[in-house]
Amino acid sequence: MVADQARQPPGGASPQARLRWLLIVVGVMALLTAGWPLLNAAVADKQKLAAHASLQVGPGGTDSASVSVGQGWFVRPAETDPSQAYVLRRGAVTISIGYVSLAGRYQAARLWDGLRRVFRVTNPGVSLGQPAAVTSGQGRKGLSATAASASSAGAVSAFVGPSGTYAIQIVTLAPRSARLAAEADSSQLIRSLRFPAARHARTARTARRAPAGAQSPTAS
Amino acid sequence: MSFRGSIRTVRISAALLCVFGAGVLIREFVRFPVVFPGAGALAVALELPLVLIGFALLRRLRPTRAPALKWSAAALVWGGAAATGCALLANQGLTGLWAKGEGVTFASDWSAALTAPLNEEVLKLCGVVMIALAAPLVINGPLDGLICGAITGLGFQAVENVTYGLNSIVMSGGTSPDRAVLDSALLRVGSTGLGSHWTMTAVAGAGVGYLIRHTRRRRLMREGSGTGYRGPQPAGRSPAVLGRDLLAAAGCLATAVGMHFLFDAPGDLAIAIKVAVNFSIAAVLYLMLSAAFLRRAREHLAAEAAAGLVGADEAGSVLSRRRRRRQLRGIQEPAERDRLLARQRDILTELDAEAA
Repeated sequence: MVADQARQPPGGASPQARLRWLLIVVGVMALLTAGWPLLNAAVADKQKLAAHASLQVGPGGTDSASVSVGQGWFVRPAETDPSQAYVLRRGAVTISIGYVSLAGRYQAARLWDGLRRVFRVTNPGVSLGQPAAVTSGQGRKGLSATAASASSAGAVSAFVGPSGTYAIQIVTLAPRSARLAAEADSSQLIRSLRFPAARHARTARTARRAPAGAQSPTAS
Repeated sequence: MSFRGSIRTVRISAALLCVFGAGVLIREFVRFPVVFPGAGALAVALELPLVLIGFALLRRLRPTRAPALKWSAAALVWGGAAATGCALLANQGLTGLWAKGEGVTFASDWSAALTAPLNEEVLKLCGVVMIALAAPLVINGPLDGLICGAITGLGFQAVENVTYGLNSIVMSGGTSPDRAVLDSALLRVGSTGLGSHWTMTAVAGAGVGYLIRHTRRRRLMREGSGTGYRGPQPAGRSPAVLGRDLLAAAGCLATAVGMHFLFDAPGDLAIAIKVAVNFSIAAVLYLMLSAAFLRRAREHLAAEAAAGLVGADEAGSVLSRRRRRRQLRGIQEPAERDRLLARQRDILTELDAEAA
């Protein structure tokens, strides 16, 4: 054990010097803790996306998916990390496209219960309806359900990747007055969803079936 | 303001900052234990061995005697509450700025390496400074700073691991919450734990220790010169040594930031190499500071023994925990044992300052 730690050591700081150091410490902490967030809030969190821009979400390669957006969309950079999620906004509609790494091989139906619980953590106050089957433009089966809270409405959709070890989750939310716009945007995004691995697999199958000399549909 | 008043002000401020940090963490993660109670409890439980064993080992690292339990615990709490909570807000802010300024792809690769070393190292280091201000006898030099820093970093590391475990539930779609938490803990405790926050803040803490030693010795020199004394200065109080301390302080702080940058930087360098580099830097610094502390302590005791202020037996035994205990066990009379215990503590307290 140590003797009274509040004793002044030889050469120890004077009370004035101690308070000066305290102010420096508190000032530095306030600068970092409040300064960066304030500065971040002062810079606009929107960057315009080119019409029909293709966005790849996920770590990359076959372990990812891409979507393409229509006109007038903005990406919210502060909430976006291409390896994990994109957050997009157009008008009153906000869409997040998230990559989910699954611990094992899953089917969409088994994925849903987990996503519903995660949704309670990430979007408290928003409840999900009964999931229904939905098909991406690429023909991949997924599940989709309505999302609603006191002030907002939208949809949540989930598609398991071809390997069964990852999924893409699309969450669309807007104020209740913009519910139709949110549904239309969600449908458009689902139509544009592409899984590279699925495309490669289909391409390989097509190539095997194609007669010698025929051009691959993806070669041009 | 009086000395005690200033100490009380520092302690109250530190406690409030810990409460603030804990509040930020609770607000951010409060829904996890509600929705995933089992996985949430598992995330905390998996860090307990790291905290308990790490805390005991790091305190035991100090030669002659462990730092005060109360202030070791305070360092742990600062790392796990004030530093972690404030870092959460600061990191969100700076990461957002990188993404807005340099683009989301750049931020995805580099924002961790360009954000965490700055925010987290400074916020953890503030805890070491706060403890030095709140309890002036706890940190006398670089070795004390290293151990206090390592404990602060351990607290930060453990709470950060819990938050990573909880976030991994979300990132795995809630499909297997226990497995996600377990995988995260295995990676962060088993794989990177040896070279993570505790090593970085140990090095930075040593820097604070150098700075404290520098300011105290400079103050003593000034007080000495005020008396008109112009003779040789005691060992460690020459301008050259003071300058060296200042340089060492700056070097430690820069090294800690560099260690953190290396740890978070993207690239092909294997994580095992990063862990080994950080661990080696902290271990070598500890061995150097520990050896230097013991050498100075022995020199001081020899001088005290020669002057007749300390008995030869005491000088030979006071540095060893085992020999001190054996001496105490050999005394039957409780009052006599208390006297010896108090005497040992006095000598050790003097050594803490003189050998720092």
